[in-house]
Amino acid sequence: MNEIINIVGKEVVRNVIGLVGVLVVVVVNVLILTWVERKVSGHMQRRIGPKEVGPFGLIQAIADGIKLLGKDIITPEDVKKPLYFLAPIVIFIPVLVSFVVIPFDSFLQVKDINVGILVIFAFSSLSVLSLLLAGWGSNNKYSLIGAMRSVAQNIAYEIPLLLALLPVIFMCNSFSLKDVVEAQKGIWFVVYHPIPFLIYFIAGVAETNRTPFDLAEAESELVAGFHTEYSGMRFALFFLAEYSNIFIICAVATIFFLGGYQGPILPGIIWFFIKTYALAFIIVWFRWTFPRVRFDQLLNFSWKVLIPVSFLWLLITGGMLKIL
Amino acid sequence: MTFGEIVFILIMLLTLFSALATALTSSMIYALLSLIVTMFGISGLYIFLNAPFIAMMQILIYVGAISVLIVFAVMIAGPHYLHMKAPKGWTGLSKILTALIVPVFTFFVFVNFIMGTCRTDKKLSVITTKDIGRAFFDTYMLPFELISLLIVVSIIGAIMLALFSKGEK
Amino acid sequence: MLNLLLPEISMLLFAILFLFISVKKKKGSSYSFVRLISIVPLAISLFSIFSKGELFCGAYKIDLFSQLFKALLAYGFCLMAFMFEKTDEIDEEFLPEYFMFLAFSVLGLMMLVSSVELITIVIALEISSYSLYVIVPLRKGQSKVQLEAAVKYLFFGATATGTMLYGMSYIYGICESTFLTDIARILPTFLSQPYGILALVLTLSGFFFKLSLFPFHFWAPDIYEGASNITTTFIATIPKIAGTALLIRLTMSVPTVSAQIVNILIVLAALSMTFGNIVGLVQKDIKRLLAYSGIAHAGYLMMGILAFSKDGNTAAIYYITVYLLMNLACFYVIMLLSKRGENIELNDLVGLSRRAPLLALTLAVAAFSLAGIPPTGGFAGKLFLFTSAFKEGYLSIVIIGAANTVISIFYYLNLVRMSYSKEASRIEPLSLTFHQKAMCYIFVFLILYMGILPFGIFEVFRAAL
Repeated sequence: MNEIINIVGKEVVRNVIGLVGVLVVVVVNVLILTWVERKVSGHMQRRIGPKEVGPFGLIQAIADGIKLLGKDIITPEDVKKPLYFLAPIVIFIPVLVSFVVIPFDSFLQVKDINVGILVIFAFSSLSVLSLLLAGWGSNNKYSLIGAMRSVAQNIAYEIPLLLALLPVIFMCNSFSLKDVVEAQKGIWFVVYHPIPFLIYFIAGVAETNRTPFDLAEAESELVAGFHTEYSGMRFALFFLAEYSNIFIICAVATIFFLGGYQGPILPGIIWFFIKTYALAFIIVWFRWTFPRVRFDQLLNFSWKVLIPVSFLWLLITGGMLKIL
Repeated sequence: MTFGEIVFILIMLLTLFSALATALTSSMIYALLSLIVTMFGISGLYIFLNAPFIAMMQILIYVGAISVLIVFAVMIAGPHYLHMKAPKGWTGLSKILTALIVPVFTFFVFVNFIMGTCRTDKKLSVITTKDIGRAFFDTYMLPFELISLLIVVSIIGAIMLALFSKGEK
Repeated sequence: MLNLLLPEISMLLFAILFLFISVKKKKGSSYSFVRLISIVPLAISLFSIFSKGELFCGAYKIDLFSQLFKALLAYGFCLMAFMFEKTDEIDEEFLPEYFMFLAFSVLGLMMLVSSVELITIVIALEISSYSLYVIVPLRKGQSKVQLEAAVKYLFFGATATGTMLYGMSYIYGICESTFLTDIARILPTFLSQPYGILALVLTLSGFFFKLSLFPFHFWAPDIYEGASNITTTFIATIPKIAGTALLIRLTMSVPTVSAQIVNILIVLAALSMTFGNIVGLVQKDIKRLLAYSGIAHAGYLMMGILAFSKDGNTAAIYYITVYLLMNLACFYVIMLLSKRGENIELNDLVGLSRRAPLLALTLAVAAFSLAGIPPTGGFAGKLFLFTSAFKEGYLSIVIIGAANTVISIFYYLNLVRMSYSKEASRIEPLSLTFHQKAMCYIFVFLILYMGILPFGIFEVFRAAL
């Protein structure tokens, strides 16, 4: 083993292992999240949810995955081929890149980049593009309407998303996710910045196109929005990306506001996952609590409430840092 | 040639060819996609120049915001603008010429006169976000503040033109 | 610090005032007070003409040169405000915005002439250009022409800015600084290499666009034709002042210059004059004609700049001042003639001397001046330009310039011939108000004054360099 490492170089081996690890985390996370979603939804509706496959239906997600893999991949006749094929691949890139910079524990991080958070947001903007490609390439009115909605929504909510994180970055003077976590040794930033946390979380829910902001794939209006025409593994990629995005949003919230892997007694990685999945649970909870917003409400809320408030908070933070 | 140089050349070629494709393709949507690839290439070059912050900003702004807006505009404009077929054969050639003249000329200039004379082996230091912030509020404060005026002018102008064309109907 | 920025601040307040007016629900229709308050920036910039200083880490330089150009810009703006009539040119609804964008544009140009740092230069230039892009389509009577003009202006402008930035990136690559003081130190050693030449010429091209010099002249005729008369008046005169200022600033920053650059500039100037004058010969629309004349005049102006001497630069400043006046005079006649904001053809001039003798006289003086016939300001300006180029030994361009002057006389005098021809069938006298008459007299007086007594003003400009 050591010989191989010596031949290829330590850095390369580390990166390869990291990438494989990321892939595993992505897939496992989706399995867990789909199970959680179905179970929680079931109980909220006074049902039981999946229970047949495995204990408590734990293996249900795996069974579904195998089913999707085995399915015939149908390409509708009139799609714009390159765009249609490109979209599911493009949506998966940001997921992989984002996982690379997330610190799961003080030692468990593929690469600590000094502009870590920017990497996540820069690449997550690609997912918007892929939604557009999917919507446009499918040559289907529902897909197109879904894509258009998601773009308007994403542009509107990406701004508060970033602005809400800026006060934290002000306080710890770094874009590196690890530095941010390390800066929360004593007190979590959510104590200093409760309102940015809320703004971030709301904007994050909107970014992931979850209820109550799921206009892009509103089942009752648009069949399934941008991925109406996708089936089999291509659909599975969208599915993977969607749940991974939920994880990323929650993970970033954890890192920036809830102290990341910091916590007593238990090892850091456990704390990290507890916090992240708690947030993910809240997102699932949202789905069965709030009705879908109207489109104008959605945009007005972002431009007229979230953005001004986050600017105000930024100003206050800057002023306080200068004074203190 | 080191590994880094090979990657650098690959990124450069990618940027160049996608830029060419942007200029040459007759389909708007492919032009846009190539433009996005170009932007990625450029951000790769920034990383090589030890400016990761600018690289990420390049992606965030050009891919995340500007390209998406262009796609949006293209979609609103409708499908019949998407394929602007070149009317005659020679326009393709002229497009190539226009796209090539400046780079080829520059390349020529570079190869013939520059490479030999003023090459420095200066080590680039990493440009941190802090440096950029310092530059913004210190040396380049005036342009930085003027940009806000520029944005005000363009926003008011855009709104006014939108109202103006509304009155047209 | 604020007292150094008084002209800019006054212009900014002017713009903000109209921003507030434009937000108001019920808009008034009378904007005659524009004339009164447009005097304020002029007075302030004249008042602060001798202030000196450097601001913002040396990115903003206030000296006699910049203050002089600011005064010129404010002067042009003031004249324009006085020329503005409530004709049917611009939708009344958009008038406050219109004035606001004009003011922003002048503000951008004022900042441009003071900036001595490349990024500031670009952004100040863009502030002024963006304002102009927006006001080009504002013309009453919607048609495709002005929209086309606006789009063309935007695209050509963007291309020119791109070219300029490309050149600036080379300059930055050479000098590793964006400040003109550093560039003046390092760039001259590179000016004999193609690298340096490319950098400098491409950087200058952004201002070639403003001046509509040869390779960047495409926009001029279409935009002149498409934009409303008052907008054209602005585009044709005031940005050119600032463009000249920056050309002089940039060329002054490189004390010694190589023969190659001068040759390139000579070729550009020669092509520009010849092209402008020859195409100008066949124009029917007066605004198009003036556009081509503007292209030709940019060529003449380059003669002063390519001399790379103090006299040459002074001559260029003098010429652009005269150019401002004579163009404003021409456009004033056009604006008074076109009652409904339409474009004026050559044939519409027929019988002007009988309809309104004063207008015919103004047009004649302006045309003589454009052609460079003594005793008008155009003659004096051209004389200075030709002698400065001759002194530096650039005989070829002087000869080409002289030949071009002769060509251009034909179509400038055609304007005069048309307006004084007797074969008018329809004679409806054009009555001028007192204000309009006064403006005409002022233009005639100023043009003649600059032709007869040029040396006082010339010395003032010389002192500014």
